[in-house]
Amino acid sequence: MTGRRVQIVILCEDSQHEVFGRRFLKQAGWENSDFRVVKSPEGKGCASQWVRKKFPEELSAYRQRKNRAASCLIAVIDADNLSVHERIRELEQECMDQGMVCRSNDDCVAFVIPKRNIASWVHHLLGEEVNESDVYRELERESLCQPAVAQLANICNNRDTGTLLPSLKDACQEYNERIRILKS
Amino acid sequence: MLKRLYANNFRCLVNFELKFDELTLLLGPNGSGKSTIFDLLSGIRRLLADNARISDAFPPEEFTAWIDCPEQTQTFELDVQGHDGLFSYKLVTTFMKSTKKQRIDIEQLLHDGKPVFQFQKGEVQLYHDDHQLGPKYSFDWTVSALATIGERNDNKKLSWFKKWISSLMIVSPQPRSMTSETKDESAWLDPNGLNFASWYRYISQEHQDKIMALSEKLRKVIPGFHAFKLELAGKHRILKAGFINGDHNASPLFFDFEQLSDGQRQLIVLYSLLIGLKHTVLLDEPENYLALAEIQPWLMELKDACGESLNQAVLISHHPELIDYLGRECGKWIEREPLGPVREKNLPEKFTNGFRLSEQIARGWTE
Repeated sequence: MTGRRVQIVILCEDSQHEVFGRRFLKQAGWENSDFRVVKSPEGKGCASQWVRKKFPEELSAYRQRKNRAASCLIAVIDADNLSVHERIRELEQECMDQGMVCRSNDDCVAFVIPKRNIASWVHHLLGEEVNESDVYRELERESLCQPAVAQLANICNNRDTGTLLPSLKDACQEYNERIRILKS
Repeated sequence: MLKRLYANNFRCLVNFELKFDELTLLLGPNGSGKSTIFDLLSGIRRLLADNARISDAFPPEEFTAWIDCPEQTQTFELDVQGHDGLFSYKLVTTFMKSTKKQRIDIEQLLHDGKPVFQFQKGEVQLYHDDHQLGPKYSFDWTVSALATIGERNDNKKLSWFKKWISSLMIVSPQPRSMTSETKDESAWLDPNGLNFASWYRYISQEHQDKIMALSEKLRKVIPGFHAFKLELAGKHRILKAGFINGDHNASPLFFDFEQLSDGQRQLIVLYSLLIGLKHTVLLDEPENYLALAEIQPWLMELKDACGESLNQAVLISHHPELIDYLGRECGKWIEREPLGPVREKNLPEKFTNGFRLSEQIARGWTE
């Protein structure tokens, strides 16, 4: 009897990243059994470095696997005080340091980079006035992000991203161009 | 939701307090007292839901072994968050060595600090929901007086607490011993899940809306699974699980529940606990029998369910998958010295460089 096969690896800093990412993908029709969550053992704080260091390993595993089955890799990492592009450059640099080429255009590898962090996105999606520089309070419970996730899924699905924070707009584009293809 | 537990003089629990969240993972070495916490709650459930005698729910040999005096007192306290306030339950029992008799000295239930029920010195004092004095009467010292009180219009608070206790699911599933046969429905899954067929029968009768969702979930989790049926066999029923191959037009082939593999039965029990009956679930080593690939998806389902379709979950585990997925956020570290009392300690300190918590624990680097 064949068992479960993971389609999407979610590489992330902490549980809020995980819950936000998983719930978004579930809205798009995936199941928990499609995911493998690889999150920093350090939990909150200082976890972005862990994601950066772990990324080349997961990218390499993705590449070895992608010709055998539909699969993809999503790296979730807060921008913090960097720009989204600076974070991407850091990930690319980690790959180069390992002698690897970073993702190509046909890789189902998405970068999800909240700026300033995931709390900024949640408050923004819940209709609050938010910028990408200030630090916003974390949710009391991770699952409270659900209404924000539902809102995002709707916007992303309709590709109506005009009013989103720039980093969220980038993430939607990443999803639509690199991940959604697996569902079509 | 269980918020806090206190116990004194029960096995290795001496002046012990533990607080709980919506999702709590109890961690610690073998013999540290994790399962004892579950046994304590089982005892309180037996006392209040099954009307067990105090000497059966908490036998004298379960007083702390190294506390030796002619008259031993055992104390339990539970704080439970209800929809409209905090319930505080207290039970004090005494065992007299000379007469070998055990009795309940105090049994008390408060709601937001105000009395709902009081038993002391053989006298019950009832209170109405508005905390005004109700009837007073003498009662047996060897059983719970609270357990005997029926639901009425003016004791909704007391009844809520009793229902909460009754619906506690404290389970260490043993799939190999689960049977297919069911004589009647059971609203409660027993401590080893042996009566799963009867519990499923209850759900199919009382919560039919949940059955379709459960079948759908199991189809995604167990390859080939189609649906359950309860087949009549004389006066009883037999729980059967239907499987299909890739051809969705083909008729399912049904197997007795006990013909399924241990892992399949374990998965069925674990996913059934998440279907939305709003229980508080305490699970001892739920990952037993599961293939490695099945553990994290179930944990994700559990995490998503907690506080929504599931009231609360408390887990015990030594498995790296659970430790690394839940440990840092939901873990409570329980420890004790040989012949010493159980204490809650801080989780092992975080190492830098992404060292996994399970690896720290495996190395014993927990101090």
